[in-house]
Amino acid sequence: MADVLTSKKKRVGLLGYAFKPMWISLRTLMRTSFAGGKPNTLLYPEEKIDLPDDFRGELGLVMDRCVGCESCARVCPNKCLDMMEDDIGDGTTKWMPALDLAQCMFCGLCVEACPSTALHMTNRYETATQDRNEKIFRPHEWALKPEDAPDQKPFPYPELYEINCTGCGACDRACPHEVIDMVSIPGTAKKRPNGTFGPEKKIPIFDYELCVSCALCVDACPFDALDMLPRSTTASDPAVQPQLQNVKVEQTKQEVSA
Amino acid sequence: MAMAEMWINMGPQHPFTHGLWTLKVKVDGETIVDAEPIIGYLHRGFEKLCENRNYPQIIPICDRLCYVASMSWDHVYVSAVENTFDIKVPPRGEYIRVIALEIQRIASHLIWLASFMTDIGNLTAFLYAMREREMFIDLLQALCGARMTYNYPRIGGVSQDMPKSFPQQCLKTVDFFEKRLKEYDYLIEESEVFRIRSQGVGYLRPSDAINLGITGPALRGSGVPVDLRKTDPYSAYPDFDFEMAVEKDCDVYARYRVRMNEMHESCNIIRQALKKIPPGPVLGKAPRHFPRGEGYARTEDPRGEAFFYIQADGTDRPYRVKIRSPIFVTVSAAPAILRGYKVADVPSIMGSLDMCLGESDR
Repeated sequence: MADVLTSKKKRVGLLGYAFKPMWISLRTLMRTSFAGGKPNTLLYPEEKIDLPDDFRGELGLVMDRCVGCESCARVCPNKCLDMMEDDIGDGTTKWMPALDLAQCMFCGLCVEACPSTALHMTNRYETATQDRNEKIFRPHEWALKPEDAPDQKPFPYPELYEINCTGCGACDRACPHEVIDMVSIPGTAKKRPNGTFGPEKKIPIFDYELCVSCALCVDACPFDALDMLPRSTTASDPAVQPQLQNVKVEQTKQEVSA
Repeated sequence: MAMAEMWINMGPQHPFTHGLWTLKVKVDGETIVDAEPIIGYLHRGFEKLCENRNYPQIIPICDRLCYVASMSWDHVYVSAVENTFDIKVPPRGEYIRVIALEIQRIASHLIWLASFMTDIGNLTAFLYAMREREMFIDLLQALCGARMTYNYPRIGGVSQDMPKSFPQQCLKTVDFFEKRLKEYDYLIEESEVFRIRSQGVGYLRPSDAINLGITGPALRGSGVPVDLRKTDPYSAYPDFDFEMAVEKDCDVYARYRVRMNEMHESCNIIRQALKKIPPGPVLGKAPRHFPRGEGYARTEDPRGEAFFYIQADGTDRPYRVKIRSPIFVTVSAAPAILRGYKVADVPSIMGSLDMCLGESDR
């Protein structure tokens, strides 16, 4: 048998045996039960805990705001969001996410990814049902009224960091609408040894009127040259990218002259 | 006179286990001759799961590694990714992380105190500790919107800035909690019943603790001063002035004292961090495309040294993820600590190691 080592022992005496621990519990009893005292627990079904506005509960969708960009379905770790065509209430149909709440783990990544503030996590947390199929919602079944959701934030738009851009055109190919146009910059062509000129450097130009902020171009860019930013700081602001503006102006001039 | 030796199964359903695991003990009468921990009931294939998810999607499942200290496991993973790809975190982001980590450490130690006290038979302290934990869970809820599975750190910072009322609420809670810690001294330490069951029980020699690879409060309880926040500082910890909790007694009581002192020090760190916190952004720019590379991070979890290794192959998801769990190592050392004590000492000794099976089975 192994040897048992013991360290030095301290004794607290008769007072410590019962009186001191008892005194603490007596004090707490008086603090919580008599006048002015407050119990430490809530009577749950009758009383409910106060939750902050950013509490991550059951998901809700504001159908009017959804642009059908599929960002939420792409970012969801459990694949509980699936896109489908559904009626928004006035007879027109729209491409919107359907939800399987039984698979949701309330991580909130979809809410962060949503560019149009259409997704919102409500304060509802009592989601138990008898049947698993009751937790699968078509888009209009988990819809929220716009007034229950927070105010809409400005849309983020793709911004170009020109230093990283190689003009490969991956963003142009990824774009679902015709937002991106690859424009060559005049005077950037390299002279070859035989005297001819090579191709000019191209950069993407964005037509923000058509953009739905789906961030597919940002995902497609192999060199991290694009980033999603709120519009006030994007290329539409002349102070940020004067060079881009000049290119656009020159392009229009050429079109006019042609 | 030698008696017949026999094996006894404690667990997987046993009041002392705190999670699903079995402790087989070989007894000679009342004395433990040998022990063998059996784990794996909670295996979810975490490391394999990570290979099928991209980098941001792994953060919410890191919450599920340890359901008592979710925030610290999120932080280990996120800092491993940051070390691998050289991503900068803004100073405000680092400070908020430290505040969240220290709140999490207190909440985790309170859960330990609650479960340890039920093992010892002190149900009053269990209820008190759970009551105080509620305040810290409320703080974390104010920070990130969830009570248990936080999903708060992001690659390059944290998901959102703290609310305006948070510093005041936090300071109030910390001040209140330090008063309550004094109450615990009366309730637990001054009681002879607790001292009989903890002093001189579960002796762990410093040399044994080092050789078995034990980390965290169990190692510091054996008088070995190793705390990664001091010895290998990470995040914003070098900015703070705090003391490492070390006790020389090597028994269950020493491990208890280490954790109680750590809660004091955590309160201290939270106060300093709230005082010094710089303004600025909380989330830096993270790349969308991750290059090839490998890296790791190790941090001081509430239970010991947590370690995350990532091998990236240039795609959007890791090629391999490896986790070192502190409790996996500590529970393997159980036979060495238990040998020679009585069966009645098992709950008190194993309770002092702070078991969490979510991370050791992963």
